[in-house]
Amino acid sequence: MSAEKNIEIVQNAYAAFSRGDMDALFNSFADDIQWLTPGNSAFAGERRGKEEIGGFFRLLDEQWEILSFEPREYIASGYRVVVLGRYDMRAKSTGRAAASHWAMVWTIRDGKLARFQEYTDTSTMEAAQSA
Amino acid sequence: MKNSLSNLSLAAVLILAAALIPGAMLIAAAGAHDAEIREIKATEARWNHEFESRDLEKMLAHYIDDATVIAPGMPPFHGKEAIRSLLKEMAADQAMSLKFQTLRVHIAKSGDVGWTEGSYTMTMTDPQTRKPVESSGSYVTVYKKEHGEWKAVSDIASAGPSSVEEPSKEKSHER
Repeated sequence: MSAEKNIEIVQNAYAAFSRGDMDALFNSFADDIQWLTPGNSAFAGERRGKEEIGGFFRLLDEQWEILSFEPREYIASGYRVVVLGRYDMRAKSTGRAAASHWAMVWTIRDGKLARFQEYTDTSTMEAAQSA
Repeated sequence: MKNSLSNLSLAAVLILAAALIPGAMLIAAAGAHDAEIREIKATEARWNHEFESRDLEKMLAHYIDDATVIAPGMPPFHGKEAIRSLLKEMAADQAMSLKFQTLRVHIAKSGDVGWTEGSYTMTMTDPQTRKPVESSGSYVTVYKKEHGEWKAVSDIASAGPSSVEEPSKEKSHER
């Protein structure tokens, strides 16, 4: 699959997330997708498979209000796509807002998203959740 | 007759060449791709030494003019002058130590954009306790080729346990 096609798969996944179409988002995932999130919060660590990642998104919805979510740049190298962007979020527990630039690295296998790894300023996000 | 044979030989040579040239081009492209990967790895190895020797100008020279640095717990640094202030503060800290290990290098097909993923350990003086504090995490640095050199466009570090997988643990197609 070409790098351009892989970028399109990733772009479609972000578009699905942005319009709240979680079915389309999860359809873009491989069944055994690996999901790696940095930091020390409840979000951090490794998850595998759609069920565990469903838990990730439920936690996200419980704890954060997404004020803006902007993937800005897509770069592909073979099976991998890195996306640079920024989000603004508000912690539901404290009402405090936090913003971070991020990089998300995706691996595509057989037309499906097989691995996700996020790089972001987790300490700023975690501080917003501290009372 | 001789002419016909010559023509046939010429045709055979041309067919053979047509068959071999794309392969040769692919090999050349793969070689160029590997050379770029080695160049970025060498750049990051050099960068490590420059942190060790606290050479501010050399540390800074790795960034393009409008680069962005995102470091844990700090506001984002946009542009070379903002990054200079961050690096200056780091270089002035006697306890400062930053070591990073490149675990993956990726180059886009265009050959002028790429990124690295790796892990780091950093020691800095805590401004409140005045004691050295060690932290570690992972990073992704996006590069573009500017005037023949790989320069960092975006440098994002995440604190916490590094989850960058060693390339050797992956399937071969996921370099």
